[in-house]
Amino acid sequence: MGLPLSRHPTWPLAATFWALLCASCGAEQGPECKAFVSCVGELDVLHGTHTNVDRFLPEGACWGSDKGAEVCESACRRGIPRLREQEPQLSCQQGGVP
Amino acid sequence: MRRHATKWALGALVTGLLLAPSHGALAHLPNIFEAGELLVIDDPLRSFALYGEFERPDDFFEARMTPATPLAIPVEILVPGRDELVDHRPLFAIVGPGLPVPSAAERALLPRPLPEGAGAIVARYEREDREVIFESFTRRVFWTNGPTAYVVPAGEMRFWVWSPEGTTGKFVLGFGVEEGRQDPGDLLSNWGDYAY
Repeated sequence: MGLPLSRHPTWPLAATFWALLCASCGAEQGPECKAFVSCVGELDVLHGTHTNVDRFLPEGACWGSDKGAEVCESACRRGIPRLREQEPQLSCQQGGVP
Repeated sequence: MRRHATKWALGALVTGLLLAPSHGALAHLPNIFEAGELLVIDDPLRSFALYGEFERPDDFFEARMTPATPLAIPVEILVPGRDELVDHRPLFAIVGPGLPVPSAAERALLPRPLPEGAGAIVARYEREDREVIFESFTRRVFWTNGPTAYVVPAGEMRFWVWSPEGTTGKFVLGFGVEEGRQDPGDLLSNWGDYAY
């Protein structure tokens, strides 16, 4: 049987504290990097390669902090047009607002 | 029962504190970038910040990495946000086999001829006024050309840094993101080289 929260004021306090901590635990993969990873996948199919995109994947290092996530999203947004310049056969699009 | 709940709550708090990320320790691995010397990046999967200074207009900086597989990596070039560096816009190029043939305009920008069989990606400044960022490790403000995710092929890749307008001053070539707890190296004992 669970403990009624109202009878144990420490629980809401702990839950609040935990929620505050987890608010700074990291971010989620953003739309630009999702699109970038997909674009690199298209490039790999064309070239028969397997590019290491680990950093940008949902569990990648990009999403360990809000600041890191911002840098990665920014990098992915600029990366897609550069990738299309590198390989004009790519048809991939930006993930966010063009 | 209540004592039991309190114990659990305290346990959760302590665990949370132990597991909480310490953003102060998130950083690129810093290193000094010397003109005229080849800097070898041993592990291209880590994040690096290479700190250099153009003392002469024709200084040339070169780093080398050898990824085992093609690699997607964010790269940017930063300049300290100081009034005297407002016109200082160093550039970088990624040079190596398997990269595209640069346009004539890009080729004209390069500080030296491309090696036989090599292509190049030449960086750009996305905005004339340059984006401003706050670098949390040195706690300084920098201008950036804009971090860009590049795909580099496997094999030996060179990073060239030069000053197209011949301006002098400090710069940082950043690879990756502030993504993990990394050894800050000798950052504190060489603070003057890294901070400004």
